[in-house]
Amino acid sequence: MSAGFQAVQWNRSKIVYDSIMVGLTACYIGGYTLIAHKLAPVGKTPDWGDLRIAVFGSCAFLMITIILCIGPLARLDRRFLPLLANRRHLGVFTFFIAALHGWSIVDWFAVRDSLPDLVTELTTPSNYAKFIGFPIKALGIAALTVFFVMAATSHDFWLKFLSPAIWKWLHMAIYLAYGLLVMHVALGLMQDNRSPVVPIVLGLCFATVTTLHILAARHAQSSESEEKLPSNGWIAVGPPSSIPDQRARIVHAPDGERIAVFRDGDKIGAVTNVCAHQNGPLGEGKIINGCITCPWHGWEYRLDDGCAPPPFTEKIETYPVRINAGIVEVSVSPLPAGTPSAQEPSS
Amino acid sequence: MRVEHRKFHRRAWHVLSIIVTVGVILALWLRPPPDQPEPVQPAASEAR
Repeated sequence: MSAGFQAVQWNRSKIVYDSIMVGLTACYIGGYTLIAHKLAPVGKTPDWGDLRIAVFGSCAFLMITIILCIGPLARLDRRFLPLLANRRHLGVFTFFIAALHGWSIVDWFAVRDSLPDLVTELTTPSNYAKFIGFPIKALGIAALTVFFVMAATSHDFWLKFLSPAIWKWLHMAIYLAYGLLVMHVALGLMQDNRSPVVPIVLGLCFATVTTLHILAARHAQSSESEEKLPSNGWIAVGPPSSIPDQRARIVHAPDGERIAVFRDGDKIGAVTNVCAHQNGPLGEGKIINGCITCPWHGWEYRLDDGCAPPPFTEKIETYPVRINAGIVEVSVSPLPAGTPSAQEPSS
Repeated sequence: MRVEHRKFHRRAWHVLSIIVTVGVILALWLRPPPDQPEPVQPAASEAR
């Protein structure tokens, strides 16, 4: 949790995650290269410059697609949460693969003494007025720039410096970058390569990301629609037994913010659903050793008062709770961060 | 996510997905036909 600057706070799960990530990427790059050589006409080896562009570009595109699927998958099925924990490692690594693709293109032009052609393509204004013929490398450069900014600000230092809200706004640019990449492929490779594989793979990737996001949104909206409207500033959550032990039910305040109502044995407390670290969904986490534990990165807060256990100093907003005729009710008005509010049925 | 992020996220995702879907369909629809191979001319010796 919060501490002085450390580049990466390595632990076993990060080492395993990164090892699998690097291993799978190496397998993809090796396999693609082998298959390209097998499929090449007899007596003709594939040009290494062209192959490099294709393998790094396709690898980076598939990695970005996987990254964008992790979020909604984790919302739909908790078994995908381990993929979410170190997603930023995957993002930084993807930037490096995408940068290798960009460098391969520049190198391709440099080897042929054609760098001025590359510059001309990017700086001719009339090219930008075309649809077919649009300078796709400009789309690629724009997407790579977004990835660079995201990779450069991926460390928790930037999260604290910018604040979680601004950091999140910045990192939502991933969606713009993905749109640019899809068009980069559609207006580039898909124009030159007449194989049906390209549009099929491109369409499948985009459709998968879109469908998963729609399903995750519907899943969230269906849970919202089941709730009762607040009465006199209190939302009825249900009997204490309706809250799973050491887990939470999430309810929605009229202003749209979500409240996580946790039960730890007989104790019931309500906190904001938003983790102070990266705005993760606290209500999807669980109570471990008396502390609410965020499912994304394991940040902890005491159920009693929303304070992180010492020596950490983070605090989150709490909400008053009461038991009214056997029904747990939570107030829609938050208390200042760190205010004790948990209740036991006897109190 | 905060409520502002969620609202923007839902709107932006819908708009972006429509734009990109239309873009990909247009890119497929408008791409020029593949170059036709030139007909092979018979060798002059075969013609004699």
